[in-house]
Amino acid sequence: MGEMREHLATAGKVYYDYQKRRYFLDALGTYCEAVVSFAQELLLVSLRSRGFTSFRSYLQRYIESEPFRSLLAEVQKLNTDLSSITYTVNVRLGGFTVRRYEDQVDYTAEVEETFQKFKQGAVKNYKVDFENRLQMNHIEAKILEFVVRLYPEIFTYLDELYDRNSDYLDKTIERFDREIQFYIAYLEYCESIERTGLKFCYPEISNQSKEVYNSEGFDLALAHQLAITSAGTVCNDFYLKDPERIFVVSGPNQGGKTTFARAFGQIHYLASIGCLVPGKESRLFLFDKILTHFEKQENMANLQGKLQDDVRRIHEILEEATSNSLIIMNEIFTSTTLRDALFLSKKVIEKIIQRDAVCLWVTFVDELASFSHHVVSLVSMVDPEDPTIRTFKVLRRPAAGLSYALSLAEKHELTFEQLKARIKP
Amino acid sequence: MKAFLLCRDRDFDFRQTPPSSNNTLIPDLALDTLFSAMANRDEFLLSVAESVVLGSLDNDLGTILYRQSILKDCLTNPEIARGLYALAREGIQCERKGSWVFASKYPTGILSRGIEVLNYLIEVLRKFRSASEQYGPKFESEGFRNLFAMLEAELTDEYFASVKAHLKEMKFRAGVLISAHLGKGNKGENYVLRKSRTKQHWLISWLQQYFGIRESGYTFVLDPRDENGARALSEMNDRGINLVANSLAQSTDHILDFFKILTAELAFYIGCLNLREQLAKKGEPICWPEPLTATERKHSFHGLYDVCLSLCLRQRVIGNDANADEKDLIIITGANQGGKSTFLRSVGLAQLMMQAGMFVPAESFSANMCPSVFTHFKREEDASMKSGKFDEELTRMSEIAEHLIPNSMLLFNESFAATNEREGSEVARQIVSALLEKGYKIFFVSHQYTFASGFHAKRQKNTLFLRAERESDGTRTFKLVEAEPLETSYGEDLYNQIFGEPSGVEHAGSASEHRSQAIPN
Repeated sequence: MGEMREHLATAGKVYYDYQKRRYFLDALGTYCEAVVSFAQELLLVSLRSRGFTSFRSYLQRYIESEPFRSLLAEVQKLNTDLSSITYTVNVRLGGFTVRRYEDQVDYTAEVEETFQKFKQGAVKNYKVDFENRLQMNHIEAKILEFVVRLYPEIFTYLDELYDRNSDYLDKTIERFDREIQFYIAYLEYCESIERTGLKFCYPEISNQSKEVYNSEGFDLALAHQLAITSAGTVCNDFYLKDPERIFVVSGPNQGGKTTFARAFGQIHYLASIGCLVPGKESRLFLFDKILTHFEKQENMANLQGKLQDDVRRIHEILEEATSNSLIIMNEIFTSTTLRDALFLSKKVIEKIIQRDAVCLWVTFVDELASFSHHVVSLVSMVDPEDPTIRTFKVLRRPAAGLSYALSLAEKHELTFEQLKARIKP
Repeated sequence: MKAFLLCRDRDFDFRQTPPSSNNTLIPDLALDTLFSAMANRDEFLLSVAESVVLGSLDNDLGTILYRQSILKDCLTNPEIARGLYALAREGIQCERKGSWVFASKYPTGILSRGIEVLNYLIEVLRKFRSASEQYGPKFESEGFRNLFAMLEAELTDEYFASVKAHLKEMKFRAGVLISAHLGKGNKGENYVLRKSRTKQHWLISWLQQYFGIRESGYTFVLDPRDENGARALSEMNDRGINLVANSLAQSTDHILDFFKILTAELAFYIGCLNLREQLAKKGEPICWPEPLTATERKHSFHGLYDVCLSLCLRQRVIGNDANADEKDLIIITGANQGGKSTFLRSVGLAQLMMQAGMFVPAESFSANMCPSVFTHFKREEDASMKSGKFDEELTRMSEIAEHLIPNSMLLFNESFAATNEREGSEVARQIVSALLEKGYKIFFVSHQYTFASGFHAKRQKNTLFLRAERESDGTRTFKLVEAEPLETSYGEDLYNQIFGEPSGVEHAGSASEHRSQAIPN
């Protein structure tokens, strides 16, 4: 169908009539072929969805209808006729003559034959690539005009067909073509990621239970990017058991916390629109709203302004949130002192617990992780052998305090002693 | 048309990647000296000599003999051989004679250039044919006879006439006739150049037209002021002749390639001629070696000398005799500067030259072929610590082991000595024993008595011991004799010579003891 639309667009662009008509014929041909072969292929697959089975029977009726069948036959005949045309042009200085082709021999072949005996290995190609422009120049148009005169019957037929079929496109098929794109695009996208060994599944969805569960989930955007560079993506699991409602994620910088938060949101959102979700097995909660607060880099605003924005935004979120909402927050209250952050965070988390909403909260405020029995503490892990190596695993662990930042600094020779030694007096 | 002067049934592949052992072969065997002698200051001859000598180790017996007989023809008719070489080079020059040196972007230009260059090439081909008629009878080798026979069969007068006719036709004085189909959007495509039927009698064509069998067609005459039209028409013309221009240009390239291959293959023999002339000036002997298949064990020669050493010296060099038939391991021991390394090089050089189909610097020479030759020479420039150097030696050995082909020849020059003698000998012994089991042919120059005497004690039939001789007064003869290894390499002589102390005076220490042990009387 895409190809057909392209032909029609071209037909609109070209200047000469018989060029337009030929492109129109191509569009017709492509349309007929696509519809027929699609209808046939649909018969071979087992369909279960209501939408698809009813479209299949519509399509069968359509291709067996009289108007469609005669259109198909006419298009085929005309195409055969047109492709049978062979003509010759005798180009001279200052003019040319067009005739029907009369079996004159291929002169290039004759020349090749003569020099055949010298053939050695591979040699350079001297063929010049001509630009194939869409538009005809007036010489080409003149030649076409002569060809039309040499084969009047075929071109009269083309004219008729063109006049009769200006509204050939079936409305239902046109609509199907648009809507199916979404499913195809999403499945292709999933496939490209599955090739790297990651899994997708159809989740079990509930609008009652908040005991969400997902195993081997991952962030789609990251997985897609890594699929291109063929690096491995680290998968993570999560689950909530009543009365748990809130994940508090802490751990080293660049340890995969934000990625985990993004994956958590994606998985829920995709589930809510009926898509496959990243993961091996999944049971998810159908939320009414998904509310997120990810830190934005605002260069203009001063610190005071930013904290103010944060608090205002949180306030809005809490106003909007119901007990069926999903809240995701990533590193809020970074632009204030730890004491302030702790104070604000505690207030906010109390509110969320009151609402009974499901929440994921990425924070550096470790104290939040052990706030109440509604809170689950998750930590992004490092390699126990070498704390500078991140494993990108996010696991249920008590929050560990800040020891990793120091090792990272050491690696970059930025600890107190190192830096002092590096800086010369 | 093929030259086939290096291999009976294929072009020699000058672009093949040389075996990995070459990196060490060139410096270890001083091959550059050989190549420059063959090149005689011609860079092209140099590169050909290098490619052919290094790229010929996989030759079969037939190819070696095939080249030997061609080379014999060249040595008998040196002037004619050089003349043919010059003619082949003239063929290559045609490419630069055309008025357009660089290929045009337009088929019209490509075609004109093709026609012009072909006209020159045809003349050189004519000269080749008459040369072949004139000199053919003087050549006896299969290679030259086939080449001459081919030139005479393919390049007949009729053939030259038909080529000339085509070259004339391709000027398209009556315009070009192109056939086409209707492609996308009814634009013409599949443009094919057709031959106009000029031979049809005018009466027939008039009758056909009269009775409506043939349509007269539609003609368009371009307005002389219509520049766009003229441009479009000339593009149409270019599309028509695109393929024929390509075909002609490619044919031109094929003929040029024929001359290039012929030049390169002849260049090898010209290189051999150059080398022979330089050796002849000094009165050094050459001989036609007798190659045997790789699975046999044969190595016997008289007066085998190091051709590269000879090329560097004014006087003649001393040749060696030996009979190493049925031997797999040849251990060479003896005096410092007694000609051991020179001998090892002469063995390697003779092997490469024989397998390339060349003559060999000896009075007589016969050996089995080796599909590959590896050298493992002491790297003197290495200034690193002992352990590091020994490590480096083993690294090189392991690289060689990666590329070994059965029946290959390995030349070791004081290998595995960068450690104490006992350990070095043991490593050497293990490596050599393993190689022997696998059927490789080994020449090993060693100062390590433990290593050499260990093999001597085994008294295996497949081992030969050669020793660099020295007279009882300490002077070297540079000649090797068949003899068991001794426990000293006369380093003391060298010491004395350099420190200016007279030979024969006893010094304290073990060296003198060894000496008395080594030289009875």
